[in-house]
Amino acid sequence: MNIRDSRINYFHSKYSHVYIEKEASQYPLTLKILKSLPQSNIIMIDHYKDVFSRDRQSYDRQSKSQNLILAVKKHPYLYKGSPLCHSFGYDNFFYTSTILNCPYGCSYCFLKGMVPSGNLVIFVNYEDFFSSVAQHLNRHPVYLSLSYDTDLMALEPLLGYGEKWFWFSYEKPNLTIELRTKSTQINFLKSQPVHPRLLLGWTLSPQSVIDTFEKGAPSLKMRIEAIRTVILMGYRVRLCFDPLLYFPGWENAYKEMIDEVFNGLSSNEISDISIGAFRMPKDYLKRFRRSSDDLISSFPYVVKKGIAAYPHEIEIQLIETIRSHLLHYIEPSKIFTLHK
Amino acid sequence: MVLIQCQTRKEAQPIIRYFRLMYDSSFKSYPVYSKQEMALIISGAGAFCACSASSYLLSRYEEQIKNLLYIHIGLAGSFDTSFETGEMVIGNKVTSTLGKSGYYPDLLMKTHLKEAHIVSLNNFPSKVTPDLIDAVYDIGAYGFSESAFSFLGPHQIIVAKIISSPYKERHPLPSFATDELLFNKLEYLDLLIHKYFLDRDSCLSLQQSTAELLKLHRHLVEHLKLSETLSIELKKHLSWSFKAHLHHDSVTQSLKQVDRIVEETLHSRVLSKKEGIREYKRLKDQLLSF
Repeated sequence: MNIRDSRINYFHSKYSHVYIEKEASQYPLTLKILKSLPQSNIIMIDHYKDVFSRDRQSYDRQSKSQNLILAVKKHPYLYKGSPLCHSFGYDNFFYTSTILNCPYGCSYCFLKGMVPSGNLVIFVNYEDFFSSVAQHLNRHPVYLSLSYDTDLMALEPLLGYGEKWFWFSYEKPNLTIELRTKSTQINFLKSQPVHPRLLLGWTLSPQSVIDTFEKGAPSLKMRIEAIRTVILMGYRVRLCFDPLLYFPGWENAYKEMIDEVFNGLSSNEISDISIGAFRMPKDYLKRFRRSSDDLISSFPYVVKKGIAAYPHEIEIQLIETIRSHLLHYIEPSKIFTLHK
Repeated sequence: MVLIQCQTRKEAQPIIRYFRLMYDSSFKSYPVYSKQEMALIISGAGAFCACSASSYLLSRYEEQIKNLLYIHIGLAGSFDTSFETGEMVIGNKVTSTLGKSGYYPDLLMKTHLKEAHIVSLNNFPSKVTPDLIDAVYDIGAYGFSESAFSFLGPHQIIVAKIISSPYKERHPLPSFATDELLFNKLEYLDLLIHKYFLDRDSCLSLQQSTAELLKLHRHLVEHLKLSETLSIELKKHLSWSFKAHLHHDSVTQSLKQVDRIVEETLHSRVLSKKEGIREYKRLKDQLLSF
């Protein structure tokens, strides 16, 4: 092997380095993670922000060799849902971040503008999150999104967080949890009873978008297969065509994807569908553009009320084209659309 | 551009020899040796010297700051018996006995080198303290990091140390031996530099085409008599249109496509700013459509 060969991947493999907050070092989950990663270099740190929040980090380079930071989260554990996201009619829409950042490197992800690092922060004190949710539940029902700042299910083999949240919420009748994913890690559901208040959502994109903009994420075929499997288990599934992207050939790509998705799925197996065009808080856009220079980041977005989005005509064109094609397969009451 | 920093001339000599660097008389405050794409500075011993020398060198290369790789290299000691004499290690954490928080260089590139926590001291230690048990100790790495991390990203910094006085030998090596030690290990460093630039070059591959687009942008702004605000907006549209074509075409083909779109506008008759804005709006829509 010629070590100077430019085709060789010179980056360390994923999780080659694990940074551990001193306070997090003795948590059972920390020990479990370290047991799964015996080859990794361990680096002790005082606070996760000493590594995660360093100035001038290269998000894209770090994503090529993503490392773990194990930390203990302090209050607050729950946040009010953003108006940029669908609340699906629930009043007490909250989200929680047991993990910061995502194992997938999607070019369009708002996380690139939100967080300063391409590394993953895992908060190992999940029981503190559970206590906080329990306090909220004493006052009102809660609709809780678990995969807001990450893809929790993609990390299931390493962390088992999906299963932990499953059992925590299973016997709490006023707690509905949503797990949104691009992954195919559904094994943890196979040995459990069907959870009546677990909403499983899949973000779907045309295969050409996956190839170009969703580095490391499973193919469309594999996602559809996972959806079929959980439907057979007895779940109803949410499909998310969000964010819709504007690129050469978008119209055919999205139409073909919808045809492929509904080939074999009937509308009563789908709980609902959310559609939304690409959007991002204006404040994130600068960092987002700094982290990459591609078709998504370089679009001349229009900023309105602090939100950067496609010009109105393009946004409407995207949403209406997809919506009208979806109507061939599903009733309009199940389609939730988010306009900026 | 690669910047290298050593504390002493003894540490610098084998590096100067390996990379064939020449004395650069344009630097007055510190001895600097350079060649195209590389410069080495000798800071002098101690945290303060390391800090001020790196600030000095970085200020000289301010315009290239985003594409720099800065390496601090030198000899170090260790009480950890797992490190052998002559072994090169790279720092994944740099701290000081003064107790301030640490610096963490990003070690993204694969290497066979061992990693170590580097602790900077004021003097050579006379006994093993708890923070030195598993660490490598030196004098200047922390001072260097204080300055380098103020200007550069963590992926642009490497702290490399060669173990010259491990615990079991007790005595530092004679100078002819350290010279050989350093020289023999520089190939590892050379490879790391090579990998860094392969990655950087892949990120910069679009820069030439950007220059072409900027030229086109300048012609359009002049021709359409655009204001500063519209000029900035046009730049974004041109850049995006180019990337949209790049989705399917090569760089050259994509540039041709953008050229084709703006050709009509460049040949249009524009006598006033008002006419320019009208033409610009038409062009903007064309650039955003496929």
